[in-house]
Formats: sequence, C-alpha cells, structure tokens
Amino acid sequence: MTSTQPEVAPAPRWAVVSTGILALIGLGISTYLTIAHYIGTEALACSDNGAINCAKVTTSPESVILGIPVAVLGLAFYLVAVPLYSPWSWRSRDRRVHIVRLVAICTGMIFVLWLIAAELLIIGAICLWCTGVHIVTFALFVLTIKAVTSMLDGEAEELEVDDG
Amino acid sequence: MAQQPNNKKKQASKDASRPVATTTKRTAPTKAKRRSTSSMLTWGAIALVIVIVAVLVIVKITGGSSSSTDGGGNSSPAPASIVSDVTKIPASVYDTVGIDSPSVAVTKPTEIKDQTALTLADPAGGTKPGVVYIGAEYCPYCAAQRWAVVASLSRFGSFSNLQVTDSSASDVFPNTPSLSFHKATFSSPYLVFQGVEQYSNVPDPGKGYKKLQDLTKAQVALITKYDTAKFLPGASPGSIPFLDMGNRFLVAGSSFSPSILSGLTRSEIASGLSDPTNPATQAIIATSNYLSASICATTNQQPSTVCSSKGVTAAAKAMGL
Repeated sequence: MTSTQPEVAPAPRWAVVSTGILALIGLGISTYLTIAHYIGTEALACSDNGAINCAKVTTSPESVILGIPVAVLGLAFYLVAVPLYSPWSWRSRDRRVHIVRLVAICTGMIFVLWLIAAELLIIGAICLWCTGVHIVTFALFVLTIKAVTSMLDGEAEELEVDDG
Repeated sequence: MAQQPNNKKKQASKDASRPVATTTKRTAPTKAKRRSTSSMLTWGAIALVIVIVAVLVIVKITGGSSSSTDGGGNSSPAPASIVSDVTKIPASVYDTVGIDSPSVAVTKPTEIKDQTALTLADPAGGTKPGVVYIGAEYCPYCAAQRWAVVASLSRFGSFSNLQVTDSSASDVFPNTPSLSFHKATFSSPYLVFQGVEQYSNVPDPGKGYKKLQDLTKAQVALITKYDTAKFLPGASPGSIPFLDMGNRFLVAGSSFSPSILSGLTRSEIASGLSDPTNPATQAIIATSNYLSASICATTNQQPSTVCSSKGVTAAAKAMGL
C-alpha cells in the first residue's frame, strides 16, 4: 500500500498580509494595556465613568488569573502570535505549524469570550482597549480558520491509496 | 512509500500499466467542494462566536447582575494614584486654602450641644470617638461630600479598599465622579469611622436603586434622631449625605455644590488637589478643614499636627470653637 505525503497548499496572500497586520496591532494594544497595568490606569486614554470604564475592568479581580494579570497574558499571546502570523511561518510546508496556529487562535478566542462574559456579567463595565484586542483576536480567528482549513484541505488532492 | 505530488503523473502512468483490479484510487474532492468545506467552517465559527456574544448581551440586558453579594453595585477599587492624590494632600495645601473657596460657597458643619458623645467600638479594643457617614452612590451630593470626608479623615488615620463610583446618570449633577465607602475600611488611633453606602448607582426598576448596605440599629437611631430639622434647621428628615461627628457636629447634604465638579474627571479632581488655586480643590479643602476642626473637637485636639495646623485652626475659629 502506498500513499502520498500530506502536503499543505500555499497560504493565500490575503491571509498573510491581513493576519500579519492584525497580529502587530494586537501586540501594540496588549503592550499598551500591560504598560498601563504597571504604571497605573491613569495612563489609559479611556472613560472612567459609566458603562465604558477601562480602569474598572483593568483593576477588577477578574483582571488577574492565577496571579497573572490578564494584560500580561494578552501580551504573551501576541508575542507568540506575531511570529506565528509572519510570512515565513505562513510559507512553512510543515502542517504542524499551521495546526499550532489554528489551535492557538481558537484558544485565544475562547479566552476572549470568557473576558467578554466577565466584563458584561461580573464587572458590569466595558474596557474599550480590551475590546480592541477582542476584535483583533476575532478577526484573526476568522481569517485563520478560513486560510488554514483551505490550506490543510489541499492534502486531499494528493491522497491516494494503492491497494496493489 | 510516500510520494510527492509532482510524482503524481508518474504514479498515474505506473498505475495504468498495472492490472486494474489491484489498484484503488480515492477520488479527490473537487476544488468547489474544498472551498465549500472551508467556507462552512469559517461561517460556522463566526456564527458560533456571534451567538455566544449575543447570549451574553441578552443575559446582561435581561437582568444578569454582577457577582456582588450585596445587590450588585457599580463601584470598583480605587486606582492607587487616585487614593494617593486624595489621602496624601500636602499640608501646605490645607494651610494655603484654609476656609477660602471663592468660586463656590462652603457651609460649616452644624454644632449641636448637650448630646451624649458618640463613641464607637474599636475593632482593636475599647471605644473611641465616632464619626458616621450615611449616603448612597447614586446621590450627587454624597459624591461631592465624599472627597472632603476622605481627605479629612485621611489626616486622622488610613483607608483601605476605597472604591470609585459616580453619582446617578439620571439625577441632578449626573455622573459626578467620586469615591465610595462601600467595602472600604478605616483605621485610626484617634477615632472610629463608619461609612455606609445604602444604595448603588444601579437603577432597580420600581425600587429606585439597588441596595448595597443596610444600616445598623444604632445608625438608624442616629439618622432618625439627628437628621431632622430640629438639629439641622431646614433639613428634610433622613436626607443624605448625613455626617455625624461625635454627636457634636452634623452635616446634612453636601457642604458645597457638586456643580464645581461638573465636567471634571475623577483623575482631574484628584490630581488637582495639590493645587490650592484650583476652584474644585478650594471647595474640597475648605470643607475638609471644617470637618477636621469638628473632628478635632471630639478627639481632644489630637493629632496636634493636624488640629493645630493653620487651615484647621482657621476653620475652628470660623466655627466659633
């Protein structure tokens, strides 16, 4: 029995460009939120009244998970995401790279949904900068699924089974 | 044996020379089918996220409340910089401002006489002169008064876990930024302070605002007896904020109009407290000096650094003490 090696189709150009830019934007915002976390919420250019209240969100008990500030977790995520969404990474013929990217963004999206739930149902306020990161993550999530599933689907074209 | 795709043609021709019955070739999905699978996954993922977010929003709108165990307040821990700005105002600012507030009138506390001194149990043991504040987070007059109460009391002790909040968005002086005593604690070698925020600033349809804290029987007795026109001429019974300093000095309502804080953010108010020429600062500091002079009268003029300071003695003199 013989079969061809599963192979990854080339990444679409739109995915390489758009996700690279989005990852850099996410890195920028999460860096800003991390700096604000450590030097004080006064550094946040955001309303501190009413439903839009960055300080309320970033100083809430939910802003720390297992002793690690959520802002730092976001920064760590995007420090990993930037190389994962680099053109070099997209060009990789190793399907594991693309699966890791897919798993990472799905994990990130689940985390974002938890943070939205915390903002709406527990803290009772929305942080605009955090929402910026959530939107970037969601966009990356959609683009990654679209691109990676079509790339990995490329293997079906080569799949052959020889019973002879 | 694994083969690369560029060997596919070779493989096909090799296969053609073999007996047909021995080779099975699985047909590859068409390009359209693959696109369809990819699109379906993408749209499915988008739909899933949108549905989850929509459910969260619906739960929120239809009454999902905060996890607060006492009614769902809308306050949050005060940022360290705000706390520092309000509780560590330079002594020179108190002394420079004194009781002068040219931009807005400041009302002196009302002195009452021949009442049993208010003392409260100190968690550390014994009793000390008591100061009781009763207010609510929705109340704009409470929002204004709290700045001065926190500033004044911080000269006698220290706060922990102060919160930040805003007055109601639908009341007069909407969204006046302030601090909140809900969840806050105060410790002092000179006095015991009880700060009660009865209601949050979160509307509770049909009931006003969501409940935060209940008054103790002793607090109910104080507000019932003293927060009346008998002791505070012109005051409506039970009006808030109500401040009782040792049963010797009372304040009902804010000592200055919240209008002076209008248009200012919490950060601007707090950071402005180091500037004795700032109109909002002058109102807050002048009020604070009056409150400190009142408290000093109950603590036997302790601590002397505060009670004999220029600003506090100016207030005491104006109050006829």
